[in-house]
Amino acid sequence: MLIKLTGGKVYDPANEINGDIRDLYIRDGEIVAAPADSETVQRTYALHGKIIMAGAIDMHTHIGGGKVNIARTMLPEDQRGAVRPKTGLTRSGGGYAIPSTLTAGYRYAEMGYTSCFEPAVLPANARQAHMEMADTPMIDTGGYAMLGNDDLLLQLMSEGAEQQTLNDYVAWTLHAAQCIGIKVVNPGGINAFKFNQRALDVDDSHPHYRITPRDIVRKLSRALNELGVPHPLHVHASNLGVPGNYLSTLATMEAAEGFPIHLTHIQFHSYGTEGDKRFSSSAAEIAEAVNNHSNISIDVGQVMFGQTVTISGDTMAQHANHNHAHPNKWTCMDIECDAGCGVVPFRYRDRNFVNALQWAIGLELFLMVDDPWRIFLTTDHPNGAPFTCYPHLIRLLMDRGFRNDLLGQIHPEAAAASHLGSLEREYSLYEIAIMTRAAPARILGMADRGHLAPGALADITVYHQHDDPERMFERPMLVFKQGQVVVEEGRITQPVNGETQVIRPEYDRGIEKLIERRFERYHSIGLQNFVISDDEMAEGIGSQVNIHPCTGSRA
Amino acid sequence: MWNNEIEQTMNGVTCPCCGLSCDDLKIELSGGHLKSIQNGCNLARTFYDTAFNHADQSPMIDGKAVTLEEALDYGATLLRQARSPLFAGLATDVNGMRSILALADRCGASLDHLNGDAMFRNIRVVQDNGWFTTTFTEVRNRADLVVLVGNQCIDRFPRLIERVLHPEESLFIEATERKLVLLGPWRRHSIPNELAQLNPTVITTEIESLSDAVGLLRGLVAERPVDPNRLGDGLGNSLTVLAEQLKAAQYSVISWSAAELALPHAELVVQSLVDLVKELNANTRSAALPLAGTQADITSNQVCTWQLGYPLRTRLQRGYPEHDPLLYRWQELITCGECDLLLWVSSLSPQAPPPPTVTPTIVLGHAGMVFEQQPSLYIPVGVPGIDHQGHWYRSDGVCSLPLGKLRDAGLPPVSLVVNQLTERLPPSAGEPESAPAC
Amino acid sequence: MSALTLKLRNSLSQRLDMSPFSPEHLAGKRADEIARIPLWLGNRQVDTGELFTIEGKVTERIVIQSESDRLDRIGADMAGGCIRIEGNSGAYLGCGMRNGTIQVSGNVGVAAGCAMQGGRLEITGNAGDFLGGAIAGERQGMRGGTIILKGTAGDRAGDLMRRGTILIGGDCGDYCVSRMVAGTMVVLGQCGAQAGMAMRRGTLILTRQPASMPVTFNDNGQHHLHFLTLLTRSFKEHPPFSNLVERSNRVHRWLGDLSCGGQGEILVL
Repeated sequence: MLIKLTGGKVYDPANEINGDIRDLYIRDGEIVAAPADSETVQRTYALHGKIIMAGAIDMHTHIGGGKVNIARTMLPEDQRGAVRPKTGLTRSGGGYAIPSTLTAGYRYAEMGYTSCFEPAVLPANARQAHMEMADTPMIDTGGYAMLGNDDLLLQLMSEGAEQQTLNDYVAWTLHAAQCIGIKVVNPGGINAFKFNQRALDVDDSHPHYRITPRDIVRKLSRALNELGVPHPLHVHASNLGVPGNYLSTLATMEAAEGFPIHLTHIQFHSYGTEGDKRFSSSAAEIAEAVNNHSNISIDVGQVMFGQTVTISGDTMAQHANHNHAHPNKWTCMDIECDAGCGVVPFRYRDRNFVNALQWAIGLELFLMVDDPWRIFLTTDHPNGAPFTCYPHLIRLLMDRGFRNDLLGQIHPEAAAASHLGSLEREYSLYEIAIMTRAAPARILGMADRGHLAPGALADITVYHQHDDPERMFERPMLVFKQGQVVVEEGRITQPVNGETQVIRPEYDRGIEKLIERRFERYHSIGLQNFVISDDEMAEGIGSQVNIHPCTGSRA
Repeated sequence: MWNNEIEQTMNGVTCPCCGLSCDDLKIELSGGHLKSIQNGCNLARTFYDTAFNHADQSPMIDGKAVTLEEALDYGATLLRQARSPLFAGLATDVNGMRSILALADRCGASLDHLNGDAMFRNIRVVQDNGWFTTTFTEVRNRADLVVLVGNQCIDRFPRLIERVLHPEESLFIEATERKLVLLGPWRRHSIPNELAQLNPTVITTEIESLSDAVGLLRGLVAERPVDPNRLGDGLGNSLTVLAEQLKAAQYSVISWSAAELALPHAELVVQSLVDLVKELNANTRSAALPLAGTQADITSNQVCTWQLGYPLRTRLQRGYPEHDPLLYRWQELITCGECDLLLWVSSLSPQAPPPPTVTPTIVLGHAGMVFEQQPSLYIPVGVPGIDHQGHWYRSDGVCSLPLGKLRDAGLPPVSLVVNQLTERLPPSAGEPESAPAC
Repeated sequence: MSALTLKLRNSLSQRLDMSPFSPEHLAGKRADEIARIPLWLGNRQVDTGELFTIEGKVTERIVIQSESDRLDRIGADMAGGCIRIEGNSGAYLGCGMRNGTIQVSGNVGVAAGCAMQGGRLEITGNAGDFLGGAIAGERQGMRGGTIILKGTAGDRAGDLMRRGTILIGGDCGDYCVSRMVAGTMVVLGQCGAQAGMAMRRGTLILTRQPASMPVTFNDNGQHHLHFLTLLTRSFKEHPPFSNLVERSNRVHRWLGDLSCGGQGEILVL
């Protein structure tokens, strides 16, 4: 079937189209070039005055895996507060900060998102992460496998293993866990916490392995570069949430030694110690460093006021923060000599100095980092806020008056301590399209999405034009998933299931002997059951894999 | 492994008998018989043996053999008529549970697992309090002090010692340095040999007295002015020593099986254990290791939690999930007559039939199941890990393992049967009245 | 004018959520409108009028006539007015209520007065477990108001209680005031085993030694507590609690639970 979208204003930064009126054609789920006149268009959508973008991509959102399910278990009140009844088409569910899988998929699609990536897949728990994501309908998914706190990598490093060996292990992990990237969370710190270490700064020596977070970041970022994995090392840096941690963040940037790295939820890592309260914004220092280092990309992890829950692989930081739990309950877990997790509910209050400043710091970062191709719109769902806050966040970025109104409502000392009021920048629709579509696709190495040129998947979102960007982005007019209309006027009209996006760098299979022996001697599961095959993904887990090419190192 | 070949001898087979989920069994297939010939514990041997029984069992309506088609049609009729169906048992694999949740949403059913009582001793603590837990591989390699609460862990988890507590090798500790403390209703002569060989410290206390013993331990660890002698000199002294050992340990582990704590409100004991662990972590490292997983309780609860947002004991009657650990207990719903149809799913063992009840009952059950009272409808289903592939959760809720297919006896997986029932129902009527604003 | 009266026509096969029938929800509604309020019975909806006969008009005072133990959440979250139950109530009676009065002539199910914030619950019969307790997952049970129970309470009365007063005329089950954070509970009858387990603060007042309390309660000896006289004097209008003041001159105090915070007290008059 040939479909034509005609008359809409197209924002397609990957192809440098900035609000031009263009016709788009869809056939067999893909965008195609304008057909010959002789071909019949079966369906035409007249979209005059509408805004057209590629389907949005969330490159960092905790939507699947053990820690998410722990959060659901621990917070029945989150479900009670936001029920979603079944309809003739969709299943029931609910939840605000940690929605059920089905509800998460529906809500993402209803906001025009078509691909989402779970950033903390523990290899030991990868099967569950993929099962949950397979049960998250409407969107394509993928995950970043966590390394850098697993005892095997740390031991190899401490024994001075060759970079090639580490590369093979990294590549094997991507295959075994069916992932598209590698993430390191508090490099070495989760592991050190198991040895009762309570902090591990970038140049601190691990109590057992005598290596530093700097070493881990360097080795892993280099490994991904040498393997040709498009997505750079995804780094949750040391000392999350600790006042003064911007120095750790800057040191982490240096640790990559020029290899590409992505620093995630950097808002939580941009804190100084100035002022009476010994808590201040270092967004300017961080933004300057990002602007000066083309190998660095970031996502923000914006905080929004209200109740949410923080879920993280960073057991060390989460345990340190448990006294701030609201409501006062929390869970931590050490996991399989692999990593860990911590779940701490939290309520950000606009009248609380620290929370208010966190909010401002996130926005400062958005507005002070120049290149929208290297900064991504996230709330680190649900850690800063649930993903359903994105339309509100987009308005904060696009509407200075609105932003300053809200700035006037937060804790006055926090407002006074922030540069936010003086920042005049307003994001354009083009820039929003970069940070929510074109750039995430590019940084993950997915040539098949995030843009609207022929050959791309027909994942397309059509918005009503509206003066208020929040209203525009919270309720798209149409969402196409692979050429099929799945959402109309913000409601699901066609439930569909997505696929799992993966990457497969080549490696020397000899490494498997070493890993297998390790599992036999020390683990409680056989290697054959650790590795997830493509058949298992399709037949058992319930999601086909879509393999993206390893294109070699990023420029 | 997902795609094993069905061969005469199969290696690396995963056993879904208990939450240890041993995946190193060697199984022999001859003349349709399955036999564990290596690494199978007594539970596993029985599991593979009994799978042979009645593999040719046909579906039955009121005890009379019928075809699968007739059975499915009848099942759909019963489901269509039900106003308050209860889906219980729920001993099935991940895909079985996925299909059950879809059907439950369609029918407006309530959901509970046959081990619900045991499970909720832990879940209620997570809901109210959270916890701090660890997993098998961590315990194998890190624990220098393990406190086993209760006295049935070896009966329930037969290979616990070799697989978790006392493996041949550990990364960070010599096995001989690991202290083992048994806290429970032990009698000297009743300690199993394999445990006794580890030279454990035995602290005898009845299950009913555990809350006092654990409470005292917490008071001692926190150095509050408690009087250990209130529990008698012997016990008081032992707990005083244990409190010091816990504080001195690098990585202590406290383990229990909630199924053993079979007394009302045992969640208070679990919370006390969990709080002890949390308190220890203020200065040193400690973690809890709750043992569970039997009859796929962790499996079905995990899937329920991610798909519905709530754990089991959730009902979908009103078109959206409502959870209540007090009201939606399956035994209660049956005895009080609040459900008008019971769908009992029990694919892992012939020993877990539905309770005798006047409520019309559909059983999707193990082919060897024997009934005290013939259910309205019985559809024999395959055993995950024997008759079909599947996924299954280990005790810790982190690792899910693929289960292989070991033979082809024609028994359908639960997921297939349930999906066929769902297909026979009319499509969901549109949206129900909006949910109450909360 | 007469109170709005809902009389259950037949016994119920399933539990019924009665939360729509609070004075503020019904304010200004006529009987025929109330009769059309949809209720879920099992997986289907029925009109209120199919299940109840409806008489009277005054919606600030509602009367529910029912012997069923399946009418749940009567008066849940109610903010004022009065509900009188002639007969029994199901689970979660007055759950989360903020103000007003609920009176019950018979027995009530589990979790009556749970998460209650204010107002008054008066029960002539017996109560199930978790009287004045918490909704699953919430960190606080009852956090205000008064519950007066003439009969016996089940287990875990006052679980996670944070504030407010529970007066129990009869016996009470095991683990009463478990995990109590603050507040006051009085039991005139016999109190079951392990009273006060995991209590952090708050006061449990007994007239008899409980069947047992955790060993992590310490005997604090005999005391004259001035506040107790003031407190018991406030019960003067509530027989059978009115004569407590005469007995509250000297009390035996136990402090605990030292397994946790340990600042709670069990006072035996």
